[in-house]
Amino acid sequence: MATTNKIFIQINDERIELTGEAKEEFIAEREKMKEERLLLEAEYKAKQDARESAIKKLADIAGLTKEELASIL
Amino acid sequence: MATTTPNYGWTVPTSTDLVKDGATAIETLGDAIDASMNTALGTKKAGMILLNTTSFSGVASTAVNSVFSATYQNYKIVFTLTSATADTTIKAKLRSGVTDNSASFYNFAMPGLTNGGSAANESSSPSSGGFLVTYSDSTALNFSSASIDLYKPFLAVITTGTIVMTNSSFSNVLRANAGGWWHEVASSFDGINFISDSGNITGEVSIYGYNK
Repeated sequence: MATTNKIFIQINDERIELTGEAKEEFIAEREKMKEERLLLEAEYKAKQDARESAIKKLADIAGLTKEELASIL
Repeated sequence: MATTTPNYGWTVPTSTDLVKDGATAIETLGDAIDASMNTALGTKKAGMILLNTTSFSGVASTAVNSVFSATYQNYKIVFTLTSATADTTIKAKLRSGVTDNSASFYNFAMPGLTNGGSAANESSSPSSGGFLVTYSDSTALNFSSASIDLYKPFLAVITTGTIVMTNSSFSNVLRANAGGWWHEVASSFDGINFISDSGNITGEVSIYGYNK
């Protein structure tokens, strides 16, 4: 997908504007990194939600108060 | 009459001393400095050598090329941001020459907390996206920073790292993470590239070599 925004990268002290194929490759790589990050965050959140849900179920069985539950979450 | 310097007490001549005693005075001063330096450093060479400081402004990535070599085995990297134009994650990829290593060899495990006390752990099994360096939001008060120790990047062995970072995270929440990096294939690298996954970043990175 072609884009019109300018992309600058830096190598040591040299600031370089990416154009053409190099620019598109950089943007694609960046998108891939971002997707990977969002996937990891979603995975982490799902794990955290599952953990909290399990703790709440255990708290119900054990008859813990809200305060006691908060202290272990 | 000779006097002494204020910090280390090195003997130095004063303006009224005889010129004919100058050579001896220089020898005495030189020996005193030599002894103090050797005591302070514990060796004839400094423990840590600044190899490169790169300031960057309004860029999507900033690479430091040709910085790892056979001269040093391990390195300290200090990475700081002063601004970002978008909420972004900064990742680091090892590189050889001008080419990033983008294979799925990057692993990291970095337990963390927010300033509100919530868990903010970060981890990645082998991925191509690089090592997590820090997060940043787009506010003006940007304080994202990372202190990294990188082990044996130039040797053709597995490269590992340890990192402590503070994140100016999205919605102005402080997140702090500390943990480890692991590049799981033995390769030699001579540089590192810091890549923002959104917008542009401004800041500075310094790389030091550890003497041994």
